[in-house]
Amino acid sequence: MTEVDCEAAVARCLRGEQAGFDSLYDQFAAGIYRLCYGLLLNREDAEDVTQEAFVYAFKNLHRYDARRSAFKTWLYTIAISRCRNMYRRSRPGLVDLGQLLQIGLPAPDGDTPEAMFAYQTAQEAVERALHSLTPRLREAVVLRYGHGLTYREIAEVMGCPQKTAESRVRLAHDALRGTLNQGLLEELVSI
Amino acid sequence: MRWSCRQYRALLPGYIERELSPKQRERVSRHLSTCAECYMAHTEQRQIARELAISLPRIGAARAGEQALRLEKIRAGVMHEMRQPKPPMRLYQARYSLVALILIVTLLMPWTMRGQAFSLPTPPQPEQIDPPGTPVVALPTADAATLTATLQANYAPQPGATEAP
Repeated sequence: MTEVDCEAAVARCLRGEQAGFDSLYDQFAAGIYRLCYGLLLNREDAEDVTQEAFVYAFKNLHRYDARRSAFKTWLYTIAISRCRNMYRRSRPGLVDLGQLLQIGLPAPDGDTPEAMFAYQTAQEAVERALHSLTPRLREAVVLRYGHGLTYREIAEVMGCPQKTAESRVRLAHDALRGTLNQGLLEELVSI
Repeated sequence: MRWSCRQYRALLPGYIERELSPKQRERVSRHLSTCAECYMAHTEQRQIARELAISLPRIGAARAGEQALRLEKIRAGVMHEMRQPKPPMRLYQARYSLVALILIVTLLMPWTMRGQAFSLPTPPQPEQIDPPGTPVVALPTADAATLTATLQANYAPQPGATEAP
């Protein structure tokens, strides 16, 4: 969906047409859910926050200004803000590690034991790596590599200068250096 | 201006992702060809970036059927909430608003009254009837005594009289 299509969909929403909401939801829901899951690492929390983010966005569409930012950036900003509220609400001690390690990456297409083992190893390593980061570094790295945002867009979504966004990605690299090892790449490619 | 290794390393993410300007890119590239430590840092970061670019898009993704079910569930929740009428202001919200208003007024009051004295205003000075320099005429002592007695006689409270409201 191009930016023009987005604006057309927003205009339809503002006229009260259900098709406009459906169009925006279909376009962005999967990405927003992945973003929330990448930051919260919990399926239920990610579903709740995705729902909250869309409800807030749809109810406040009249505030969206296409001249200031792209719709995707605006929606990501809302989702990040809701995720930050969730960090504050949730207590780290209650995170279910078993659940963390069972969900996340899609299962491989092949069901051979080797593929399953490689998948499991890679999944655990990535989630452990993400979990070891502070929320701000995790946000930067998930937006950059999970969603392909540019540094300018990351800065806009995170509400910080572009230099800070770059610096956070670099710090995340440093932090992940010890967590992600050389062999992980081959495992991921082979899945 | 000469840059430090720290400054070059700050640009490495942008260099790896090809988001630097051609001038900056050229400068970083020249530095990497001469600084072994920065080159090593660049290699490590590029490796991590490749790993993350492969692995992170898969985080939170699911098989098509499972994903569709999850998104439909969320869509139903979104549309349900959208249909809900806006809830009226709750009692605790009204209380918090009132407390906030009082606090704001209390905090702003000294600021708005800045420059105004808190003491009572001084009464105006009586006008001087006689121009300055006029000689004061002293009454003879006998006249003064007579005047005092007259005043006391005229203005003393009458017995049994009630005070005017």
